[in-house]
Amino acid sequence: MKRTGLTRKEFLKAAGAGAAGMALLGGAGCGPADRLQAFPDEYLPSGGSRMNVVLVIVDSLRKDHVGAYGSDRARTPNIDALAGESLRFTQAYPESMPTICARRAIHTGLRTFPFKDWSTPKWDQVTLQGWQPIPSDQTTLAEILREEGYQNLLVTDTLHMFRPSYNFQRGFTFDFIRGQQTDLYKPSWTAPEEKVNESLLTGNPVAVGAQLRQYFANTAGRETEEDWFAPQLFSRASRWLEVARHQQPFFLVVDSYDPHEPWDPPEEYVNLYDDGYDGFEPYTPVYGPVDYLTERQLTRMHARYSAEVTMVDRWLGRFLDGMDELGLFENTLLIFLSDHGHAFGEHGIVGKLPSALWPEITDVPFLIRHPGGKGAGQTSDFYASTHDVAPTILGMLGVEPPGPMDGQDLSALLDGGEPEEPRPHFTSGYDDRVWARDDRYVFFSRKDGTEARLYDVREDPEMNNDIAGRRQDVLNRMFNDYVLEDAGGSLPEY
Amino acid sequence: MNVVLVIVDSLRKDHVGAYGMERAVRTPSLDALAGESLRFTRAYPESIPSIPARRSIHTGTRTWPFRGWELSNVNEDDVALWGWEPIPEEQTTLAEILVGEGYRTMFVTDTLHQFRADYNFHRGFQAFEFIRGQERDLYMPLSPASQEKIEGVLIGGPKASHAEEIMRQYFANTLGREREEDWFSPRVFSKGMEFLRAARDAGPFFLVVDNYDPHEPWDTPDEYISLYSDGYEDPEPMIPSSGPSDWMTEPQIERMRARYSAEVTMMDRWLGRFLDEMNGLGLMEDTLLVFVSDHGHAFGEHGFVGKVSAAMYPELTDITFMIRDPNGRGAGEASDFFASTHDVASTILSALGIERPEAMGGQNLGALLDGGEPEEPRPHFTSGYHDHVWTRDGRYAMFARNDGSDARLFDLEADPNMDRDIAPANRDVVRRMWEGYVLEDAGGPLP
Repeated sequence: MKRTGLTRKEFLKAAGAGAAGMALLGGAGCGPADRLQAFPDEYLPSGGSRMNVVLVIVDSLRKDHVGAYGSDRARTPNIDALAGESLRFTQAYPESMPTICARRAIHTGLRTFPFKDWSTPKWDQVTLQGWQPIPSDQTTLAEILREEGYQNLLVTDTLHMFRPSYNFQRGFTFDFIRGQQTDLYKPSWTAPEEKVNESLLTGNPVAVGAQLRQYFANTAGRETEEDWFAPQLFSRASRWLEVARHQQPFFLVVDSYDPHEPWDPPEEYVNLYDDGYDGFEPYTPVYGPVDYLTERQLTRMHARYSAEVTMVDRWLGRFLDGMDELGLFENTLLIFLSDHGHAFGEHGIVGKLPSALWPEITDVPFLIRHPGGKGAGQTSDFYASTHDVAPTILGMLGVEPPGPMDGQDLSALLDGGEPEEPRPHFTSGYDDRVWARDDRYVFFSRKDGTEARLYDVREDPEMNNDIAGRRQDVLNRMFNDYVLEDAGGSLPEY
Repeated sequence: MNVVLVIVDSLRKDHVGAYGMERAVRTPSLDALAGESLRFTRAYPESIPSIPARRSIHTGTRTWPFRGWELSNVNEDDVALWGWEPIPEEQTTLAEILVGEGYRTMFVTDTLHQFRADYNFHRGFQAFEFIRGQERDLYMPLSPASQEKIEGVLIGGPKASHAEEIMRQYFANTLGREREEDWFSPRVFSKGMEFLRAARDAGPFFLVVDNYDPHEPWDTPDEYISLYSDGYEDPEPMIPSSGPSDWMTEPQIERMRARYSAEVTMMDRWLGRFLDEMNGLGLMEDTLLVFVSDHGHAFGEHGFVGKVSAAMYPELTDITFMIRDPNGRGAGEASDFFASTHDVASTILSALGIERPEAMGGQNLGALLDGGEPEEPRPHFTSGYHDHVWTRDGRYAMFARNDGSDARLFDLEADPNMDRDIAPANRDVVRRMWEGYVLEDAGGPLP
C-alpha cells in the first residue's frame, strides 16, 4: 500500500538510468512532481466537468510479465510508471476467455460466462463457447456514453472484431488496423515462402503454416518499426487524441492485439532477451504439450513474447507521453487491462488451452488511473474483472446504465473503500472449462465437473501440487457453491 | 476462367457515352469497354439503393420485396431504408460458392456500410480491403480543421442540417489528401490492380471491385470539374438534399451536375487504368468481366434531386450493365433484356460451369452473348425502393406506393423520359401492372 508519489516520467527516468538496453525505451523527461496532487475532486461529475475516458486493452499480457507486478521477465517501464499513478489490482481475472469472450464483457458490463445462448456465426473459424458477436439485445458502454454526449473512438488491430457478423464497433467512430495473425488482408498466397519455411518445424500442423503464410503475406514490405502493429495502433490513437481533445468529453478505446502471437518484433527487442540463437524461429506456438519444442526453442519463443511485450510497452509509453503533453491526464480516467495470458511450458503446456487454467493463462494486469490521483500507487486484491470495466466507468461518471450490469463499480476501492457487493470468490470460464477461486483455493474442471484440479494457493501460488484427489469436499463446494451458483444454477451444454 | 466484377455506385446510364444519350459525359474507358462487351440497354436494379442492390448482386437472391426487414433492428448508425441490412446469415454468397470451388477470391470496396463487419459483405473473400472514409463513414474524429471547410458547402435547403452533418464527417475523413491518388476511386481501383497482380499466377480468381464514386459528395480535383463547369463562385453543391429541387437555383443544379459528371469522369479514368492493368497482365483473354451500377441520381429532372423513392424516373432507375466475354462473344452488341443485379451471380456461375444453389434466383444471361435468349422470358420487370414499387413491360412503366396508392403510369413508347403521367386515364393498365406484375413478383401482398 505504498504510494510512490512519482510521476510516470520521473519513474521512467529513475528506472531507465544505467539499465542495459534501456536506451531503446526512451521516454526520459521532466514532469511536474506534484501533478497528481494538483487535481483533486473537481473533475468528478459532481464538480461539473465530465472526465474523458481512455480504455487500453492489451491482448495476451501476462501479469507476471509486467514489472510493476514484481517480475523481471519483460521490461515494461511505461506500464510500471503508469502503475505508480494507478490503483493496481493484484488478483484480477477475466470473467471469461479468450479474446472475444473477454471483450464482450468489457464492452457490455455483462458476463459472457456461462456462455448461454452460444451461437457461432456459421463462417467463423473460431468455435469456442461464448465466442460470438455482442448480442443485439445487449447495450454497449459506447452506446450509453454516446447518449451522454461523449465522442466515442475505437482503434484496434484485434482481427476477430472485424470478422463477418462482428459488431464491436457499435457506438464508435472506429478504425481497424488490418493484418494481424490470420486477418484476410493480403492474399495469403503472396507470402514469401522462404520466410514461412524458416518458421516451420517438422510436425507443425497445417494450421500453423496457414497462419504464418497469412501473417507474412499481410506484413510483407514492412520497413521501419512504425509499420509494426502496436506502433501503428498507438500512433493512430495519439493522432486521434490531438483531434478529439477539441470535442470533450471523449471515450477512447485502444485495443492492442500484441503481444498475441505471432511474435515478430524488430530484432533489437528480441536481442534484449535472447541472443546467439540460430535455427527455426518460433514465431507462433502449437497449442498443447510443450515437448515438441527443445528447451532452446522454448527459450527463444518466450524471448520473442517478452520482446513483443516490451515493444507494446514502448508504444503505449509514447501514447501516454502524448496524453501528457496535451494535458489530458488531468481530466481523463484511464483503465488498462488484459484479457488473458499465455503459457510457455509452465505446467508442460504452451499456448492457451481451456484445460490449462493455471496462473500463466488466468492472471491479468488491471490498472485504474484516476485523474485526481485517487488510489495512485496503491494495490487492491479485490477480484476485479473484465465485466467490471463498464460499471466502473459509468460509476465514476455518475451515469446510470439503462439496465442492470453484472459487473461492479470498483471506484470505491480508489478511496480505500469496498465495492457494494463483497466478492469472496470468483469464477471464470473458457470454452468447456470452468475455473473458480477464493482466498485459499483455486479449482478448475470440465463443465461436468470431471478432470477437476485443485490447488491451495496460500501454500502453492504457482499451482504445482494438485490436491483434488485429497479434498473432494472442497471440490464439491467450489463447483456447487461457486461455479453453479454464479452460473445461475446450471451450465449450458453444447 | 477468372471473373472480375466491377460495381459502380450511382452511375446513370444516360451519363455514359456508350449509351449514346443526350446527357453523356466523358467516359472513354467505359465506352471502349462497351465496344468489347454485350451492353444492356434496359437494365434495372432489382431493388434500390446501394445495400439492397448489392445484397442481390452477392447472393443472386432478390432483396425486394424487403421481407424480414424491421425498423426495430435499425440502430443510430444504420440507414433506415427497407432492405438496408446485412446479408442474412442463411443466404449463401457468390464468393462463398466460388471459394468452395477453388477460386481465389478478393474484394475491395469503399461503399457504405460494407466496411462494417456485421454487414457480412466480406464473407467468402480470402482477401478484402475496406477503403474507409466515404460520405458519413464514422472513420475519423471531427477536427477544427475539418470544421472550417464546412462553410464552403452550405447551400441551405430543407435538409440542410443532414447535409451539413454528412459533410462534417466527410471533411474529417478526407483531411490531408494531397494527390489524386489519395481520392477514393483512385484508391479503390489501385487496390484492385494490386489484387490483379497478386492473382495472375495463382490460379482462377474472382475479384470484386466495388466503387462508391460517383456517389456524393462530389469533390473531385478541380481539373475534372473544369471539364464541365467554370466561373462558379458560390458555396459548392457537393451533396444534394434528396427531395424536391425547387429550392435550388438553376446554376446550383447545373453546378451540382457538373460536379457529378466530373466524378463520373474521374471514376472512368481509374477504371481505365484498372482495365489497362488487366490487359497488361494478359488477363483479358481468360477473364469474364461484368460491369454494373446500382442506381442513378436525379439532378432536377421531374423536379427532384437525389434519390427519392417517390420519384422512380429513368434518372434513378436506369443503370449501366455490361458483360465482357473473354472470347469476344456479344462484343459490341446490345440487348434489351430486362437484366438486373440479381442476375449477376447466376450468370457468373453458369459461365464457370458451376451449378447454382437452389435458393438462388436471377437468370443466366449467358445465352444472350450468343444471340440467344435466357431460359425464362422476362416480359416485365419489377423493382422496389423503400416504400415504393416500380414495374415496367415493353410498353409502360408504373410506380406507386407499396399500398398501391399514388400510382403513376407512363407510356414509354410515346414518352421515354416519363414526363406525362397517364395513370388517371388508364386505371385498367395500372391495375393489371399492380396485380399481374407487382403482386405476382412479390409472391403475394407486400409487407
